[in-house]
Amino acid sequence: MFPVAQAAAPLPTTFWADANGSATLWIKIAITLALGFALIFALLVAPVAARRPIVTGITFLAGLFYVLKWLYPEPIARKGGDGQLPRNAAEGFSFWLSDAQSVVTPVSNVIVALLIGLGLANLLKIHLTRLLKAQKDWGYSLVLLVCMVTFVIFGYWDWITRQGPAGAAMQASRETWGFPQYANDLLFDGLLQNMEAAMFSVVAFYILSAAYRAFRARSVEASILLVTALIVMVSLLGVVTLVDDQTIGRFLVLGPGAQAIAVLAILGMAGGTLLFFRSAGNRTLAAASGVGVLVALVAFILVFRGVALPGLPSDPPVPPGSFANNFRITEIAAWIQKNLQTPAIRGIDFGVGVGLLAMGLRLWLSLEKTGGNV
Amino acid sequence: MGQQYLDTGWIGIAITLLVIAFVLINIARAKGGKELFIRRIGGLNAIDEAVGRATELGKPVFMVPGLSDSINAKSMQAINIFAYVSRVASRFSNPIMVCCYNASILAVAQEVIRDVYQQEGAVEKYDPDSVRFISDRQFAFAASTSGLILREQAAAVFLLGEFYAESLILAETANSIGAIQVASSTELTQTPFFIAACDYVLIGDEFYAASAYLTRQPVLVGSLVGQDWGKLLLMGLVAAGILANTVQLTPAADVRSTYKEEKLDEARPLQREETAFSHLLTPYRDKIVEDFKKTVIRDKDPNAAKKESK
Repeated sequence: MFPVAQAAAPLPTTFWADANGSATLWIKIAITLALGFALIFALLVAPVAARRPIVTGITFLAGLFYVLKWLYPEPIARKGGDGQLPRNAAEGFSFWLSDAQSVVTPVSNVIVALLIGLGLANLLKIHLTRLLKAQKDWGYSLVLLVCMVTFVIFGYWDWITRQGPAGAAMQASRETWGFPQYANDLLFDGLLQNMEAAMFSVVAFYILSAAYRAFRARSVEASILLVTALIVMVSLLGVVTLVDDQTIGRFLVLGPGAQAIAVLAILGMAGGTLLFFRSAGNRTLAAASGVGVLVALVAFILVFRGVALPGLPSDPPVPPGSFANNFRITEIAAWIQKNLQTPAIRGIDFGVGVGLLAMGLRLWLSLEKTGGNV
Repeated sequence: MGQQYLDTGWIGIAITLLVIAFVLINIARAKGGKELFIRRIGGLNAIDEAVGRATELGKPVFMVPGLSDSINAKSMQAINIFAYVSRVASRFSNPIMVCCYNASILAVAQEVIRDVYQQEGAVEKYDPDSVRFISDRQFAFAASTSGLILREQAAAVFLLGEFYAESLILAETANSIGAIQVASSTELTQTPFFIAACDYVLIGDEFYAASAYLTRQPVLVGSLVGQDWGKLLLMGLVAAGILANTVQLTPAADVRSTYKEEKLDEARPLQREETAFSHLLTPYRDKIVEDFKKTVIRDKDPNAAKKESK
């Protein structure tokens, strides 16, 4: 489909693509390691004033790679590793960028891997000190250290025994499992994951308590939040959807008497709910408002379910194309989500995107003094 | 470059470069001594109040720079804000605690906070254990940090950065002991939880405006004004998009449904009936519209294919 030069045998297309185990690859690894250590040593011995240009330069080069990767045109349908050669210098640079990504990206992983040791050292220092000096809450530190050591031992024991062909058999069947596998399984899948799941499930209770505080009608904004949240939440209830789909759109086609009862019922429910939340420990008021809400709810359901009340005509069915269908609670909730929620989130997203871009730019060009002076 | 290169359209790159230009121009303006205005941000004014309250109560100030997998722009921004918080705390000799989810964040946070204490001439007040690594497992981190907040009875808690499902665990724990909380999550799904549970919340780009607002460094202030220019540009584009879509004749959703990637190699002739703005935003639209119309005609008229071949 695309005119490209094809070589007879697979050839290394760029600097980064050397054969596994080849002498050239080992030499490149050795040179990179030596350069890495030299850089670290240079940073250690350099005066503080000289460190900044080194760090700035490295940051700029690292950022420049990704900027180029994003801006420079990328070849489509290029098959890597099949000896496909670039047609010209511009395409060659594009190939180089593409190949280098798999080498450049893990650099940050290597640095992060080195830093894990730092995190471990920090944990050990804090908790060993607390344990040895029998400081406050030293028991927690003991539990943490014992767990840490146990998990490391069984994690590695399991990993080592899984190396080689035995690992594949263990993957396929539990019958070949030994003590380290069962112990590891108990620790990670039996304990850790379940404890994490338990911690996650706590969120449900926190949502309830946070929602209770957020939905108190303390101000105009909080009241708007309360109403919109109630509409959206109620629209998700199965029972409401069932009732709603059959009857709520009927309001506009109800008789005037039934409409009046429906409006009174809605006002009664809203007023009763507000009174209930504002009863502030007054049990009589709370009970009265609760009963009021219940009565209003029953009246509402009776009217909207089309129960023929004495002296009132029963409501006719809503035609499928009727304007009244727009007043279904599911329709209102969908409108809120589509026309209010989504644009608001988009607006915030734009701001976050621009902010992140500016922050990234300042870091890339080392314009920012971390910590800042006041 | 030829057909084999994926043309992702130039409008996105042009807007990005324009925003970058705005930022750099305003940084230059601010460095040149130009006074630039920043509006008041309530959540950031509350930082001094929160630290002051912690000092009055003699309790520590807790800071969590989010749960980023490694050090990135978001965690750096959080650390920048924490540098300011630590500076205020060091002036009042108030204890602080920074809980890190990631070892790379720990390394940077330790360095920055120590520098802050050094700049304030209070190195002896800096406790190296006050910046600590907790865990890089999400809920282990949540459990441990919540425990620390409870045991140490934090008076002020700052939750700034990337937060996910643990946001509410941390915020509600701090709320339960009456700590004053300033929070911001770069994850929009978590922002409502913070709004429900915390005293002050930085929403969206307010988080990125914080360091400029607090330190008034010319580079940061200029960058912030540049961001505002960028947002004005985006607002203009949104308004133009609304207009373009309002007068557009072909329903966009139907056109998108006929989008085929293999068609991208072909030439894209301009169609006169298409609006200029629509063409800018969707460079492939013309070809797609043409295909779409053909498909519609073919579907409606079974003899259309025969007519085409004739």
